[in-house]
Amino acid sequence: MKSYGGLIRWKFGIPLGLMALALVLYTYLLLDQQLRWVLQKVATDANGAEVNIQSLKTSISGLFVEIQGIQVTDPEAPEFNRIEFGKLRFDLGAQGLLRGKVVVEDASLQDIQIRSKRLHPGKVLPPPPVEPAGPGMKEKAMELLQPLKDEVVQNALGVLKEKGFENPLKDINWEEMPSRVALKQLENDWNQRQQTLEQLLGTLPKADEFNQIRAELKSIKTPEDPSQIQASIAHLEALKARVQGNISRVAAAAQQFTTEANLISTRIQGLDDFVKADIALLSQKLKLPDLDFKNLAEDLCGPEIKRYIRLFEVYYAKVKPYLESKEKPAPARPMRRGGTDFSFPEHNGIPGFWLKKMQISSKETADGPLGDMLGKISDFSSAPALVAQPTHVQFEGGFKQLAIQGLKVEATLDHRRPMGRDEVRMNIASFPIADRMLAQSKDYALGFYKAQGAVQMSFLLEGDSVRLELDSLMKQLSWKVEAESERVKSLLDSVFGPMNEVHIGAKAEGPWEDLKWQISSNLVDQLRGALRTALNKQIAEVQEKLKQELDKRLAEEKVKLETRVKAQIQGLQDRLSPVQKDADDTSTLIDGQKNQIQAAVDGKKAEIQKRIEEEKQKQEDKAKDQIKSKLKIPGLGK
Amino acid sequence: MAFSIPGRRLIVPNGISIVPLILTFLYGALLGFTPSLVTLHSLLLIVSLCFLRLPLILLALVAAASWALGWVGLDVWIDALGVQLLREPALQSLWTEMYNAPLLPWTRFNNSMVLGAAVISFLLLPLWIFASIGIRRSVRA
Repeated sequence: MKSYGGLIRWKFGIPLGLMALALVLYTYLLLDQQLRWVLQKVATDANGAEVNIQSLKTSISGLFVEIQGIQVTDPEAPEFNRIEFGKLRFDLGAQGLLRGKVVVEDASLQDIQIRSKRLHPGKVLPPPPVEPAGPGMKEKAMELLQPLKDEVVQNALGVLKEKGFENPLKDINWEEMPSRVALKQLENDWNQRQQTLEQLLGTLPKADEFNQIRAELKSIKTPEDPSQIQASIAHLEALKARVQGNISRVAAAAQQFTTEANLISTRIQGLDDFVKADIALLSQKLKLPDLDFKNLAEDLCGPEIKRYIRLFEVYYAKVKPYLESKEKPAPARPMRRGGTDFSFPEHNGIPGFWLKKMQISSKETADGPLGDMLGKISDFSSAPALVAQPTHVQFEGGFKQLAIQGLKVEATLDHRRPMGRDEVRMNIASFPIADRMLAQSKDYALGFYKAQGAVQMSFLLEGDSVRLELDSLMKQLSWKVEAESERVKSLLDSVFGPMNEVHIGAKAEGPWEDLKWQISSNLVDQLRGALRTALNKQIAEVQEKLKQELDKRLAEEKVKLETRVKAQIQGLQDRLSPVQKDADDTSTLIDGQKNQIQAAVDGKKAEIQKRIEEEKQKQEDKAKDQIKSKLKIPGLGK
Repeated sequence: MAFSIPGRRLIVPNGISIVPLILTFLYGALLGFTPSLVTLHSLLLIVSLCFLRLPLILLALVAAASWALGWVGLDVWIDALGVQLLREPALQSLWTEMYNAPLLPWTRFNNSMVLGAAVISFLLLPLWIFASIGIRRSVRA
């Protein structure tokens, strides 16, 4: 059998030489192109729109990477670049490269332009799918983007859109008005009370009862025999007591009738109070604005604020996780897992990426597109805990051609400890604003054609706690007010026409998920005041109309009910009166009979007394005569 | 039983000794299980093929089979093994030393898939040895 040969190919020089040649050729011919292509793709994905790199040059001997002509397309206006860099150079450290790390010892960024016109519009990537559980800040920011969602304002402008409210009395269901409901309730109550009074009337003594008493009364004659006098009087007293009981019941019933009549009358008068509730209900149904513009500041100024906080959203969503996470998922391979990349930094070790310092310089030329910019970035790394200093970013300058002046940014990003602290301050003394819409809906559009803006912003993020202050000023305003209705347009014109400056102040504090916003603006104050004034008159007119209609309708109902109740009370009283009269008459009869008997008794008593007196006199006279006859006193005669 | 399939001599040449066969299986597993070839050790393995006399077709078959095994499900275990090793407290100082040493980070050992693939390739060494012995005997017979 033929031997396969030894393990070592001693004639390996040719394949190895070929491989080395291929490597050299690749490095000189393809590496830069390939790196440029990869970098363009990565940057395009990060930017969301096309990023172009004119040239990329690497030097293995000099250990540097030089990139020229970087154009970053503005996704919102693809015919323009968001920013353009003339030259970017990184001088890499050999120590880092040996350890598979990118340590940029020195870097420079030169010739910066913003909003430069592109030769061809850049390609814009489709937006990434919305994550179901994004940071709360994002949701809040989206809320801020909604144009004038305040229902009160929508109503207000809806009212002002036409000549006022359309016929407010149209389509009103009067039956559900509180006054009408109260009236129905009152009628029901009265019907029940009326039944009760009827029942009460039914329980009162009838005429027969009084006739019977009267018959009994007639049967009582003045007794001749004194011994029967007391019995007759007792009988009379019993009859009197019966009649008196009946009289009391009748009087109580009469009193109850009076009370019920007064009560129902008071309640009928009280129906007027329900008119206020009717008006409130109708105002609500007609969507009469309550003029409490709670969300106006957020609605109107939210989009403006959103422009600035978007910067921090990007930072929070993309940069921060990379600064904090020790384990990062590696990019997946086709059909295979990517695994997880672990970091094992040691104290004073080298981060995976470390930009030690970068000079930013750009010098404007006469009529040239370049900005005038000077600044530096230091100690930006993927493992801040390994670096002695926090990341500092500082640059200032302006872009004269774009009328942007006094741009100054200072940022300190400190993630050396677990609780990170990021502080950013940004000032722009003056920048142009063109064609900016503050609020837009189908009924109206509010914005300005052009203005000069200025902004001061400070942002502090400590752990998850955010403090954001923003002060934005827009001046030299040229307002753009459009509205379908002339009425709304003239109102908005009158509000905004005289306004030369708009100031928006915003403060936000708390965790990202639940930021507490405070937004104020003179724009809001002016609009609020104007809407109030314009609407107050409209509302008062409508409310007066409603009141008149309600008063009219209620007055009719009230009169009807009052008349009915009075008639029914009168009917009841008419039925009560004969009973009362019977009771009174019977009582009078009894009293008369009783007096008669008493008089008879008194007469008998007087007669007997007289007879006693007479007998007594007789006896005295008789006794006197006897005494005289026994005592014959001389001179006195016999 | 003789190892006879069409083209057998191209895959396993006559007279091949046991060591090249074992190395072939090991190389194939290392190259196949690792999801990315852009690592220092993968490149060194490929360069070393210039001066090591190994049956390249067999090596390619082994690498393809390993790659396919990873694709159909072994990746989960490779990744889990790598993660466990990289999180092992007793090994932290070793990883830290390696991570901060020159050149070694280019092996991307700190990636769970790369480390898992390398370890599993060596763990399967007894299997490679048995397979190599079997093939060697078949070829002789």
